[in-house]
Amino acid sequence: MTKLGKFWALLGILGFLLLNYPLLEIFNRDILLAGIPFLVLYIFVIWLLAIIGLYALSRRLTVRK
Amino acid sequence: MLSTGLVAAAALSYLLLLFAIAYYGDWQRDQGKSVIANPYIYALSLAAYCTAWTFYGSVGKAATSGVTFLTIYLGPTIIAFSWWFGLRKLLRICKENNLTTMSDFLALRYGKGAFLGALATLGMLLAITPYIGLQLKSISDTFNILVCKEVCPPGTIPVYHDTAFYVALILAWFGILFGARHLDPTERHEGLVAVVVFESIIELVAFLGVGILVTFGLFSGWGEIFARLKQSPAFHQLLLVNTGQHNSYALLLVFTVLAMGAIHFLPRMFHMAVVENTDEKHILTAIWLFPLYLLLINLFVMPIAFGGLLLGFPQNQADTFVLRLPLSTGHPYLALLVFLGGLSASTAMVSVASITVSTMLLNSLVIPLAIRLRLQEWITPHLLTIKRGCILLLIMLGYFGYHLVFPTVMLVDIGLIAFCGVIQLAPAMIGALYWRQATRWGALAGLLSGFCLWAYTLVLPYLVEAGWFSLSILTAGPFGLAFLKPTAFLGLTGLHKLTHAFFWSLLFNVGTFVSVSLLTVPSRVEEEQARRFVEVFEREREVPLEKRYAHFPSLDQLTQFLEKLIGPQKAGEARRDFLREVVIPESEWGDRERLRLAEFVERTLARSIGPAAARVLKEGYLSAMGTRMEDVFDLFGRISSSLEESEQQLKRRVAELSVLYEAARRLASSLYFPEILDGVLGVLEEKLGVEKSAVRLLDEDGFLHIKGFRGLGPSTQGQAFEPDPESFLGQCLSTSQVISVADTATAPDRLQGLIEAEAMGSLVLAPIITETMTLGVLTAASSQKGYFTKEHVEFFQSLAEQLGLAVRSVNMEEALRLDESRLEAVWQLSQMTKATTKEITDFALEEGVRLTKSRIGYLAFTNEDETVLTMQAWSRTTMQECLIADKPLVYPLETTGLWGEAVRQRRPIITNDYAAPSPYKKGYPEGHAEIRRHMNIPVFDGDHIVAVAGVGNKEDDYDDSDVRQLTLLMNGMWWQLKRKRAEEALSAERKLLIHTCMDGILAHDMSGTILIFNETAAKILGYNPDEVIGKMNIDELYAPGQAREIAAKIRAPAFGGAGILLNYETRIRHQDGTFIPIWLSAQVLREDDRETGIMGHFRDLRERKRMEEELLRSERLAVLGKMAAHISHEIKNPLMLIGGFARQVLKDSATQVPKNVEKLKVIVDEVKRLEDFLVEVGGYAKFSEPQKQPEDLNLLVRETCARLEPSLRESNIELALDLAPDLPEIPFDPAHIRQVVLNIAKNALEAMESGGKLTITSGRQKDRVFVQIGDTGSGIPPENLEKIFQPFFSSKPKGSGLGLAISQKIIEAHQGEITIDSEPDKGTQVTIFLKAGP
Repeated sequence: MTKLGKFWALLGILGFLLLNYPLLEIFNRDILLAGIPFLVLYIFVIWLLAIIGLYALSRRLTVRK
Repeated sequence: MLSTGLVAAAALSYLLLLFAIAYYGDWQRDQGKSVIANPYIYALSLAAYCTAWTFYGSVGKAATSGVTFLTIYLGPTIIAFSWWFGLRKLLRICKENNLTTMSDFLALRYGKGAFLGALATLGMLLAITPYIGLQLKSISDTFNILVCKEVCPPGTIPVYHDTAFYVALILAWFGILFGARHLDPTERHEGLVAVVVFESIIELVAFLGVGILVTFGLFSGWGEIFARLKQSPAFHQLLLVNTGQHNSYALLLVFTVLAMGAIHFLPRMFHMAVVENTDEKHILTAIWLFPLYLLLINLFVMPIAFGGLLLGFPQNQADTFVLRLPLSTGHPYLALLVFLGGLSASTAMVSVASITVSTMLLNSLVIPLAIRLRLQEWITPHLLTIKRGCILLLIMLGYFGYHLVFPTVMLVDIGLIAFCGVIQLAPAMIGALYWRQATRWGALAGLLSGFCLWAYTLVLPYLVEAGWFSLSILTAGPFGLAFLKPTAFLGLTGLHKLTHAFFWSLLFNVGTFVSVSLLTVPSRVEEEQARRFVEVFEREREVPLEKRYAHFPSLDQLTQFLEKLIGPQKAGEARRDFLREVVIPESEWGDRERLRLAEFVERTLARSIGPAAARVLKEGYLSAMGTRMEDVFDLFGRISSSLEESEQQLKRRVAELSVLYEAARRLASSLYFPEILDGVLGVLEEKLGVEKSAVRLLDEDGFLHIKGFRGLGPSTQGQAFEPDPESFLGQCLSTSQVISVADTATAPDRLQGLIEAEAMGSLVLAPIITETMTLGVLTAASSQKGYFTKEHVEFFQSLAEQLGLAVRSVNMEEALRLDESRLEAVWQLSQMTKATTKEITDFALEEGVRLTKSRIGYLAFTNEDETVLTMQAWSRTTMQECLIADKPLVYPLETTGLWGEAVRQRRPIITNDYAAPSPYKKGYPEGHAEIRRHMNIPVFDGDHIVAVAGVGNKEDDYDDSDVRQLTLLMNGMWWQLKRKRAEEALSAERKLLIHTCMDGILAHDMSGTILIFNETAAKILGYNPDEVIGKMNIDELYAPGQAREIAAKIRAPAFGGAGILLNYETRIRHQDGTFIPIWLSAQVLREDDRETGIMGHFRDLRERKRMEEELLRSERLAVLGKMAAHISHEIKNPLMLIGGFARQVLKDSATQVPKNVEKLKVIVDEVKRLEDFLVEVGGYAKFSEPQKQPEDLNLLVRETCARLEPSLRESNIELALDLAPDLPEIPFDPAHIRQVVLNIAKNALEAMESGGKLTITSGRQKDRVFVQIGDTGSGIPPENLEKIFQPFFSSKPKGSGLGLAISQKIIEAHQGEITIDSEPDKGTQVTIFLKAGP
């Protein structure tokens, strides 16, 4: 596996960890942030970050090709 | 509220729009353009993941369990990080092998057994069917909500009133139309993809529409909804997780993992992501675009769900909030759009899923089963129908499944059942991609246990709830066994149903998969497939072949084989594709191309019928053709066995193997030994960094010569020495073992023969050996001490073995080539049947010159007593070089010089130095071609020398091999000449025989063309042979139809045996048109049991007929003469008497009256006798036809007896009559028959002069009536018996000899028979037979 490939895998594992117990427990709080529940906001932010990460990585590969 | 008509019309026109899009997509593809070859389209096509379950179910789940539902979409986002290496690998493998389903994938990877594929297919079927039902249910529910605000509970209405049923039918039609219009081996359905993409956009738009309406229309934004929900005591915990079993962390984890699996292994996702992919690079876009799509579609799920709850909609209707909210707030057209969005989600899922699962059914169940039952010939034309049937069956199963089995289950649960089912494929699939040790048995065990536990712990509980099984299974366990409770397996409690099932099924699945894989050994096929799968990206460079095919069928044969299975058009296309792919023309194919072709054929078949079946068919075909696999070269067999070595070692090993491979390639590519050596040593230096190497070979005298070297300095060439047994070189040669010397300085006295540069550090000596002998030594040296390791030793041994092989094959090739060349020359000689002697000898001589690499040559024949040589031929070059114009042709042996020695010494003579003085040499005249070397051989026929062949001026010395070549060739020539002479003699004899034969001989082939027609035949028939042979047809020689009759008779057994005709009398046409009678004997000619023609000889019967007639005439004349003599004799005697007496009477007429009276009496008597005689003669000559009338034969006999009465008495003969009383009246001429009886009786009386007994018997015998007249007289001697009926034959002095002849004539005229039996002195019996009937 190439270095970049390993980095992808690492990011994937990180995403998996961030969205599961126990890390999720940190954000599983009954509070609203900017009118939105903390947990929901957290999940969507992680989600968006993951998409941005995926986009960046794929751009790197596309450019390299 | 909308009218049913409007909704139905909208739905139908929407479906029609989808059809139009799909048609457009397919049409574009047919035009060669692809609408889907676009990364964005690919990314959006993955949205087939979002079914009605997403569209409606997410809201439902959010309203009941809060945030949990998001994990279903977070899973795919997380796993997207692996796509570039994971999904791409899957894609690459599937593309390379033309795999179109997961079951095919598994079947191919795990040794292509049909069972694994079948198992995976069955599991998928079970998991997907309810999922399809779910989609149908959602369409019908939403339709009903839209038109009547309520859902009709299933089961309460008959099938034909159920909207879902019609939806199912329409979707089945849709699926068939786009998935099974024809059998496409690539299983790509571009139109369908276009539809899915369109639908995913509609879905998103509809959902966002509702979301915006609820969030910003009904509420003032997200903030308000969440704030109000937080205030609500009933719902505020929906904003948290881990508040209970339904949203525990464990469940979140399970959901995430399930979603990660489902995005790959749901059949429709596999199809969209893998099969419909047009370019690997599209993955790069899908990686981020697809998660983004998922994010967008989930953005408003929570607002809608919570908004619905806040607006007071009941929680159990949450599944349909999306529809109910716009409907109840006065936005029916938005609701309609939502309905269409949901419809999109459902149709996309149902059509893609049904098509892919039906392909799985076809490839993994139907076709393998058909092959097992030997029905493939029967089933092949119906594959399309079967596939369509499968689609219909699947959708109907889904419909009835939901109708009957799962009516009570919530949407979301059905989806999770399916997810948990397909995740069972994950271990085997991932193992296939990454784990080489994974075996077929492991995969089988894993899949089987996984599916069983999934069905038991997850599906069964739902079935129990639906009332299919007793509830006690859930509460008390099956058969009261509590530890087997499906929801608390082995007593594990406290887990959510799904978590529980997920845990147990995957535990068993992975556990058995791994452990069984470790415990079993993969088959060779599996090993090979594992390597191909796992190392799919590494395979871009060529690896050496491990296997090759022997007796491989030709491309044409394979094309025919393909035609039978996939039709001529596709087979032709595949053939063209393959030829384009390999580039090299068929005549130049090697093992690699054949392997590729075999794989290609299998892949092509796999596209139509799945890999398991394809493999069975291909292997069956190949083994039927006698093809088998064999190892290429033992060396490479070690590759796989030594994989446990470290990476370092592996790298070196790969380098070594590439040297060996390169060496093998060079060995194979050249026959020129120095070139081979140079190449091999060069590769050694280049690839392994061996700077100093040399090859020494032994000559016949035991000297070692350096034949090739690297890095040893130019002075090395040409060294030769006799190795000392104590030296390294000598030891290596005598023991045939590799010697590795770590430091040459430790044994300075054993370095004999080695060059200084070699003895400066470490050294390896490897013997170059063949099976039987040592040929030389390969040395490799390094100035570094201890450079060569144990592995090097092995490697050099292999390399030296290869060199040995090369040396041997170079030698053998050369010998073989010469032998082949000579054999070819001899063969050509043997083909020269029509050539003249001169042509044969010229050819043989030229070949002899060529084979011995000579410049000149000659051939002379000897005479009978070997005293004179007659020059037969000079080679062309001799004729050019020799300037003597009038070469003598005849040489007395005594005067010949050196070249006569071969005859005098009766052995081959080699003169390699012609210039050196020789006692035999007599020199040659001026202008003669110059001779430098000479060799000639005597050609023997038995003990006799028949010829001398000589060649000269070869570049090298002549040796025994030249003698052998020339001798064998010349013997071949002589044999050919002898045969030719014998044949000529034979053929001349045969020709003579045919032409001088007294019979006409002709032969014709099966078409009737005359091929042989000899002189006699020509003479008889008035033709010239030239105008008949090859020009006329046999039919022209016979009367019409006669030829056919003869052909029939010749084959019938009755005329001399089958195939033979003996002395058959027929007629043949003369040139002038008359027919000539002939006797024909003929025979069918055969060759290998096949009739080739007919050969016949015939004899002219004209002469014979003429002779016969002549004979007949002369016989008649003879009879006439005899008759005349007899008559004249008979008349002469009485006339003499009459004349004599008359003259006396005249003389004494007056004197002796009494005497005269006496004499006159005699005259009168004699005249009377004459009259009687003449009457008899007249009777015989003027025989009149009998006037037949029915009469009583007995009466006639009695009358006749009465007439005989006086004579009987006179002769004292007793008469005995024994007449049958019941004799019928029969037709006869009474006058004639009376005469016969009288004649016979008179003869009898005359035979009994001294008395006796006359017996007349009459009677009946069968259909004849007989009268037998027997006497006891003197009898007839046997020698007279046969003549007795001849006219004028008589044993009596006074008989006319006509009595019995007349009798016979009469009886024959009555169609009767007359026989005679007689014994001398005992008596005679004459019997007449007459026919009883008319």
